[in-house]
Amino acid sequence: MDRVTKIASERAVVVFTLSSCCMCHTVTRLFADLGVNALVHELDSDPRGKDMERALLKALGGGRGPAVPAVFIGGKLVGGTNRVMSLHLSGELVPMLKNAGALWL
Amino acid sequence: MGETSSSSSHSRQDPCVLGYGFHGAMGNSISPANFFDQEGATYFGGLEEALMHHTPRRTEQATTTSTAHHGDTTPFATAATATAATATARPPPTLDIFPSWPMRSPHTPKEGSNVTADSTDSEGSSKNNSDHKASSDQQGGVANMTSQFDQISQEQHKTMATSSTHSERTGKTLDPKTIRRLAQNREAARKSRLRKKAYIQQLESSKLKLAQMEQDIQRARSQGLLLGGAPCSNSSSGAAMFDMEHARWLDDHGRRIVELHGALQAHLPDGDLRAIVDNTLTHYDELFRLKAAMAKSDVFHLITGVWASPAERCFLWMGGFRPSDMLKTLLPQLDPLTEQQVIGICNLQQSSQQAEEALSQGLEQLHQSLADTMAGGSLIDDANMSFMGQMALALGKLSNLEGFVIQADNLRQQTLHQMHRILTVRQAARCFLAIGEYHNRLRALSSLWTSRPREIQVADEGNCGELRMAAEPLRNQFSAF
Repeated sequence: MDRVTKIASERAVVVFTLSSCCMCHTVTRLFADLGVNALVHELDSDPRGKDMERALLKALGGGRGPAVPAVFIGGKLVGGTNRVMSLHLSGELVPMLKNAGALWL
Repeated sequence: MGETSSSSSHSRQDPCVLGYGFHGAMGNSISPANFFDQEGATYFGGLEEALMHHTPRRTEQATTTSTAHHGDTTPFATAATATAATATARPPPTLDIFPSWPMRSPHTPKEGSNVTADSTDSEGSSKNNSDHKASSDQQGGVANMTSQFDQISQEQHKTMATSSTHSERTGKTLDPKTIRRLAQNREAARKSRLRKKAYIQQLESSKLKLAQMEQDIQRARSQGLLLGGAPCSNSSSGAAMFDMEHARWLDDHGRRIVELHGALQAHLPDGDLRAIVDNTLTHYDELFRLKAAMAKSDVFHLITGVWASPAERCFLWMGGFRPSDMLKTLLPQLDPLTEQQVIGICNLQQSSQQAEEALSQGLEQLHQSLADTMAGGSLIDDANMSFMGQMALALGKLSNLEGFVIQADNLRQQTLHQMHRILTVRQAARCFLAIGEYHNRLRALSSLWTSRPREIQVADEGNCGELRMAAEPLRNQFSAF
């Protein structure tokens, strides 16, 4: 988890993904469309990817959902796809991104 | 579907479950053995009682008659089954098929007095139809009694024919026993006639109900609510269950829409209206819960939209309506809106569009990845050792599909919740009405489309041209989908 936190604070928006996960592509695509330069960290290419995946799964609060994509904004865990989508529709995502300095307008 | 063949082996379930008000009172029959064990006296007693019970309400519906007959339906059933057979075989003037004079030939087994117009007449026809009815075995079983009854019937034939004159000839020496027997014969004859009339009434009403049911099924099928028209082979039981639940949800939804409409017309206070609006939103949540459960069990059923009507299917995006399109449709319907509301809805529309785009891109990537897996190795040469490996990989990728449908449904649900937040209570009510009506129209369009005349004469240029133009856009959208 430390490694996760460390990487998560490297940029305003960090997304942990797996190459096999298509939903990850969705989330990264969304951020790109919003004009956010998000850091995409693929867990399969990370030697400690398995541990990180486990840690993320726990952090996301469940045994059910997938561990990825896991989105961090301003170093803080925001959640998975569901959460990001809901935030965006409620109009809260963009202010959050602006606060973290990921977006300028 | 009628109340015939009570002598058949299967017992009838509660018919009211059909909702068509069938009363299967003619259900369980007494076995022939039981029946013939009855004392003649008790049988007569039963008849008398039934007759008393029945007479004042002669014109009542068949149900009363049937329940009165419950104790002795067996003999009547055999006649009734024959009745049914002959009734269906001939046009409406069926009431005339039973001559009032009994026929002088072996007839279906009945004890004494009940051998009257009804049973004796019908035995001729019942003989003809014995092959078709389950009562045939019963007839065969008690055929040995027919000879006995034959004598009685002939006797009664004479007594029947002369009964009217008997009463006039009071001067003649008649022992009380004979008089009593004659009276009972008359009573039984009348009872039989009444039963016959009631039974035919029952048949007619059953026929009407059957026609009505067929109509309903036809309508439901054209509305795409039933899979009867479509090939059912590829729908799992879970899918069938979902379709049923969805149909029920639609019914419920229709009722809520009516309630909303009424509430708006009646200008209910906001508090009351809010409750109804909130309930409608909750009802939508139920739908999404249903769909989420379905996505886990059979995502293909959802994503191919088999559960939706054809026109809705045409606009389908990831297993449902496209939120940004819905918002685009709703915006002009909800006037007047405050500027803040307009901005809010526009932002919502834009966010939804972005989310939809992202989801579509993700799905596209899934398609591509799946296609690559399927085409892995050689599609032509036989030496493809890794078939099962390929399949396993593809299965893994396919399982991502449910995630997309669930996310798409989440978008739809969030859109509705956000609209509910942005709008006032009255506006939200009108919003739900608009959404409901829009889908209603799509369903209506679907049913009209499926029932449109298919034979387009080439010579009929004008009509043909229009119809073809109407068909084109839908087909194009289909191909895009």
